[in-house]
Amino acid sequence: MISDQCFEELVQAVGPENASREPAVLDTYAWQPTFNNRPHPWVTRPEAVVLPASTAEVQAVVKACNRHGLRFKAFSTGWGAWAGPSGEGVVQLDLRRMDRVLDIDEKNMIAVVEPYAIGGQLRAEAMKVGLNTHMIAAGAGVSPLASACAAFGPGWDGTYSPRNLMGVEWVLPDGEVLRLGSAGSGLGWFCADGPGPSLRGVMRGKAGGLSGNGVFTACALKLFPWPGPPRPEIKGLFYDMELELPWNFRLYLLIFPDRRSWAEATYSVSREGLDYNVMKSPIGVVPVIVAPRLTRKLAGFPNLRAALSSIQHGTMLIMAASSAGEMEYRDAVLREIVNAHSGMIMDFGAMALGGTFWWSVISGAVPPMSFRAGGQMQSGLGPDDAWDTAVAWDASGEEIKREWIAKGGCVDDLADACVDMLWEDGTINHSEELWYYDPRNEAHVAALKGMAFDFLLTAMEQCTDQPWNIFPEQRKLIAPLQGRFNRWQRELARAFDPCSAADASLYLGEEDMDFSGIEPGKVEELRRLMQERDWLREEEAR
Amino acid sequence: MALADYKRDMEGCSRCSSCKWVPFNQIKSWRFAKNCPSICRYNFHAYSGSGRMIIANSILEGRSELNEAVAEIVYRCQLCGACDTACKVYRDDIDLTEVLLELRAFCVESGELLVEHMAVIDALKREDNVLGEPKERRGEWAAGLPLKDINRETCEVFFHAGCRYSYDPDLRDTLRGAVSLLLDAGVEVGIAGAEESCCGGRAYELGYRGEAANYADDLLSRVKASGARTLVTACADGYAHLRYLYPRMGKELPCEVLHITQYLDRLLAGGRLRLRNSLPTLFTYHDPCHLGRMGEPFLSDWKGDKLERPMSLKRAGRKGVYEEPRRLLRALPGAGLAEMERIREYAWCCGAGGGVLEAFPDFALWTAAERLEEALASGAEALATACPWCVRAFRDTASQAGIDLPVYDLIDLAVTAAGISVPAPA
Repeated sequence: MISDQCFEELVQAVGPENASREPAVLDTYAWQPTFNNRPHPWVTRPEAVVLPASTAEVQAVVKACNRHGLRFKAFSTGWGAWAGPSGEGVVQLDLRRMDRVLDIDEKNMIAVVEPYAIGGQLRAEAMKVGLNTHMIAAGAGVSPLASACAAFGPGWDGTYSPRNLMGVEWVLPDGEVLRLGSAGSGLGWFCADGPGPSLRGVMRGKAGGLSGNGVFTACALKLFPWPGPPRPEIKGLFYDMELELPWNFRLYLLIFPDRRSWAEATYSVSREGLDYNVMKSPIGVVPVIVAPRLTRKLAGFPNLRAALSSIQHGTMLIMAASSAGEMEYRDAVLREIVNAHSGMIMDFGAMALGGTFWWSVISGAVPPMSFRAGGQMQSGLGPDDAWDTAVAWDASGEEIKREWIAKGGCVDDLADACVDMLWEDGTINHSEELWYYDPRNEAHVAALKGMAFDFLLTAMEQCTDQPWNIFPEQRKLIAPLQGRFNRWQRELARAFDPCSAADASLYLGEEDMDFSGIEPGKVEELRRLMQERDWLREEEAR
Repeated sequence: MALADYKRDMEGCSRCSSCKWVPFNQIKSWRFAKNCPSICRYNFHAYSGSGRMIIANSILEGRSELNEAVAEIVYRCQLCGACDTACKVYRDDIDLTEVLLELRAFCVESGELLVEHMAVIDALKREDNVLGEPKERRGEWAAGLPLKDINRETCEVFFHAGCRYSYDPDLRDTLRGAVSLLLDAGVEVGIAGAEESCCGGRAYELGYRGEAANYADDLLSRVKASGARTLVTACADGYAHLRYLYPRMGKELPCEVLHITQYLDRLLAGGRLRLRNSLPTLFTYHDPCHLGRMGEPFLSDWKGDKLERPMSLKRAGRKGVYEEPRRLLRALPGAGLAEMERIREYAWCCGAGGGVLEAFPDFALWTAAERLEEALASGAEALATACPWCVRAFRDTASQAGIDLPVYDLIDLAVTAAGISVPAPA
């Protein structure tokens, strides 16, 4: 329990209006149902919550935690179970008062932002000067800084958050400030790796430290060209949205006869650089977002189901051009690719709701619509890897989901809600099988653990990256297959966090996995694979 | 209904925080991207729509207790509905405003009352108005106007003045202008005069359900007696309560209910209202919450799984009154309309509603000042709106904060443009 002395120091740090230990207020930080596989959505209640408004205030809070043997956990927008405390003795830093877009450097195509500036705000400000931000996969309502510095990073617009990072202001777990890149030498935010400290890998790693290695209070992000209007005139909120697709954009739905031709054609589209956005158009996602009730009904008719599945292998492509001639060229290349793979092109942008979808994707408004199907969603988060690896994950995800849909474990989305994205012209790619569920449905909640296990087992079988290794159970299990990364993290933590002041459960934590309720045969297979795939075991034995 | 009846709504919250923002496809700038005055002013998640639902759930599950501090959090909210509208862009199964209302009723049932709100309710019980003004003076605004007395006569249009218009000395002329426009168009208008009571909506919002029901019964009996086919009110607050709350309480009025802007729009379309005089001003229009998103008619009290509720029965704010006031504004000769960034379903609140003006005047002023800043940023020379509470909040705030932006009631603009003479009070 937090002492009065410690709370008083927190109050001194942020002001009396910005610190609380009222139980009901604290409980609003303990409700974390998203990406939470436990049977109830409450996580541990923090000891106190503080709202710092500056880097200096963050430092003061972190130092107070160091002095009093408490741990700190920071979040920006706070969506997802990883944002809350992992156990007792944690002070929650809610960074919403640090919400500024500090600078948009049009010439150098860089934005400098604070933690609570969300993607939608940055997008709107960047577009005013002909630029756009990387819209992360969680959409417009979350923090680009968090995505780039501390948590995951996938997006659907051809890039990946950590690759866009140009400089960071980082409050280390002992309360000191470290600035990375050129900002560390006081030379501005133009370069992530110097002149100045170059520690992006240490800071970020693959999945990010999720506040387990400090608090990020500002960062610089790359911006990208925006060939559309500075402020599109849009009426309405979704179904009633009215807008015309700008003349220099196209929104196409590309349909292919099978997974292989879809995969090859989509890869070619990306390799040729035709896209402003390119991603799989999963057959389950659009109906579930647009008409969840109708989809539930349609899913019960085998013939309709088969009809929808016949157009399952699709890609959504947004193209942009700076001239009619350029668009003509892109169209010609696209036709050639699509024809070579026996596909067809639907000009979705010219159809009803075409403009709506175009802007919903560009503006990052789509992700929260995933809640419409059942109220909640979860992800079989897959690899960031070669396109073929992503495609294999896509196929496996469908199989896993089909089994669980049959068992009543999740919403029936025709077993296909896989988000496959190609970044940097197909150099790295992402695959993530979503499933939708109702958190008030006992069968759905009971299925969470089993479904997550099936994705884990599949990752083992396919030797793919497993980003859920942020969770202590998975970290302990997977680390031997991933070069014992956990040892390195512990070494870094010893250096950076001598008092263990960061709530580092998602950065360092390790727990034995609870296999209760999992089919014994699957557990056995997992153990066998663990033995087989532990490539450091023999070397270490020598 | 009771708070526990909305537990599934609370359990559905994914804590995505969409309730704190303008719907994402409508974010136009960093500066005006947020939609909820309460979370913007106080910052803890507890002050958001999501946060209040979590508090309600926490209390129901016995994790925390309702106390004075928690009740203050519950009441530091205008009930403007912006959180609900934003949530419902993405959700079908959460009725956020209903949870907030039930939480207030729970506070009252539990004895966690605000002194300032008790004063409002006392005033209401004593004088039948939320301002505590003498009941016998309620009809004075209409002195000398050729209006029917619905306590004794039948009429075509029952005009409900509302508390704020009836007693606010700055707004009485506006009210006289409103009925003068109707009379000029040949409409037979009746009023209840000194017998008019509050609609009861404010009592409901403060959590005092019994009082609200009594006032609904009172108005219902008067409307029946008047024989009116149409009730027109100039009070946006009252409009929302008559359109939504009354049917929800099973007390639907046996007549068409229109806001004055809707009625004037009809007169304009029918050629019975002619706007001739030039008003060469660039206006911006503020959507009152209770005329806009909260003015949506009652659609259904869906009892089943809300995931199965048809979209047409979801209270998403789309059926509020947005176009009619804008048509009136555009019809003013010489006038222009410069829209603010946050409009229609996602408009920022004036700050006065939900008992905030009475209990937390500094918060009301802060909220209104934020809106005036947005109005100035639109480039407009003046702000027009269609709610007496909004007009009062903006004028007071502009005056106190030194913000140079004239604030108009649309009725006054219509009166000026129509060039009709409004008789001085007798």
